[in-house]
Amino acid sequence: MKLADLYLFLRTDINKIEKELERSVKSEQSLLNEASLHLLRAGGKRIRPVFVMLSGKFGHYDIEKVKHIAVALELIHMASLVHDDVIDDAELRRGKKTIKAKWDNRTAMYTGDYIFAKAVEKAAFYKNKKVHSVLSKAMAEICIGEIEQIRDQFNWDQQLKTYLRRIKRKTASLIAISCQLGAISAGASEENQSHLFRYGYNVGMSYQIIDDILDFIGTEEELGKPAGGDLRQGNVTLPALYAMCQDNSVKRDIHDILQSDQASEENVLDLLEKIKTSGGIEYARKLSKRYLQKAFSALEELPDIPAKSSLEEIAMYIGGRNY
Amino acid sequence: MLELEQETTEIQHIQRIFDGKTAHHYLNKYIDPPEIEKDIIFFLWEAMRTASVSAVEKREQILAALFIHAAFETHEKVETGRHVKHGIKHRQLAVLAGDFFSSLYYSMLVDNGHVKILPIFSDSIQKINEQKMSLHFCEYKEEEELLESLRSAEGSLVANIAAYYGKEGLGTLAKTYFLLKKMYREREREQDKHLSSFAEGIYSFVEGRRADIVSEWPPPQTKSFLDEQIRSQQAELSRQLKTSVCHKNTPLFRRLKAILS
Repeated sequence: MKLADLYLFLRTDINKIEKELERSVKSEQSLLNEASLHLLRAGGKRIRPVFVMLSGKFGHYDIEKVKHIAVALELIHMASLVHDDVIDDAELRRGKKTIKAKWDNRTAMYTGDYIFAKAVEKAAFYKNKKVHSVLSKAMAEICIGEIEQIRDQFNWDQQLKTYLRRIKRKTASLIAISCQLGAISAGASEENQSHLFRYGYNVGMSYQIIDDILDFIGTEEELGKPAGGDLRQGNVTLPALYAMCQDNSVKRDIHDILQSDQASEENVLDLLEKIKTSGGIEYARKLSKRYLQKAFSALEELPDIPAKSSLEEIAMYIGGRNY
Repeated sequence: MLELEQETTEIQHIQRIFDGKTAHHYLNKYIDPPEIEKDIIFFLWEAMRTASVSAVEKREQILAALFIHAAFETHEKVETGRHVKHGIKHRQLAVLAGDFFSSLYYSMLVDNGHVKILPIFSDSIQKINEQKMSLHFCEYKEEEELLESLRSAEGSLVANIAAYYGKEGLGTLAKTYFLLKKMYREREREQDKHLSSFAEGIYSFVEGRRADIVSEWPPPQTKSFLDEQIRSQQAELSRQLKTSVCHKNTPLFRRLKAILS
């Protein structure tokens, strides 16, 4: 089963959001228009709008009211991907050429900035100060998270809390506020807004930890890039963190191999194997499950409506995904 | 009208808030701290002079505009893949620092109850990016088209805010002033051969070929074009000043006179 199968009943509204996204990124400047549409048509799971819609069901759901925040959040996600590709010098995303590869860095910068501004314009539909306050804080937090990720690259002495704070800012924040803002835009109660935020935060944490596991155990075909990409770029994720903590020789090997100019691919593969057999994958899975449990607990507080089952199924899917 | 002492105090106050909000220990190791564009302050003071907004509210809107300006300036420093004179980390952090400064304008406006003016800011950012993209790809057949694009890229944020406060004339003045100022800067910037989108647009139009890095700046033909345009924009600014509503003895008026001399 695919993730999208879990929210098939939202298809009509997702189509509305898709159309709204297309309308939103339109520009009179032809190349900006082309670049934005290229990005939009590269696809994506649209998981943030889905969280907005499902959370909106806990209030007075009206797609015409919630769609603006759903679009704003997806635009923020898209814009940050365009800029991430400049940061990572990435050529491909979802199997398609990135904007920076198809055109150049400057085009990617202008496209990303343009889309960020469009997101703010969409959010301006709401007069509720809380919507803006939540969104603006998250936007700043995402940037700070990414700055810290660069700061922490090749720093092998990180603590677990540093890693957790980074993935919170990098991934969990945007999912948490997607749920929260969906609830706010539909006028759900403060209590339910808070439960949904907690659900989103924990699902987001679990999602990112699984992503970090898959980066070690996935095949090149599944990942679309060689395994261990994070580590190769100097990003310390949970399996490696655990392995270093358990065995000092892993830390020494990571340091020697990844910071050496002459490290062979064989050395890197040996190192990845050492991390995989250190118990780091199992530990990360356990922690991911613990976050999922917290997400389920948050859901228990919510009224029993069909959207609740969907949120539960999405969380289960995320916990069990293999690629 | 702001007296000299008041003016200095207010600028210092704005500078302090700006520095405090944009400071980041790690960023500052790799990226030059952003600078405030004082002329934005002078123009926006003038635009809001008679508006029914408090001094604090004026300051907040001015700061929001300064954050946007800082974001644009920082993103202009993102180097292309082929040319990484300042290193990969500099490029990565220039992207993120620009995004961070951009997020500050949004929080500055919404945290202080300026949601109504938010679309003016976000719309201006969109328009400026459209112009920058046109400059990057030099999509002009006529000189006037290029100039209009340069004018909008440099001055439309201030012009749009001025128009929001019913000061369209001041907006026109701002566009000419910032265009002229940027032309001066670009003509005199000889060290760095990595072209801004502004310089890129002019270079491509004049030389007939696109480039974001050049071995010599400004090449002779481009320099002549800039010299000619500077003279023409000086005359235009002088003409606008005679007929404009800009009050004498304001900091703005002094700045405008100064650029002409």
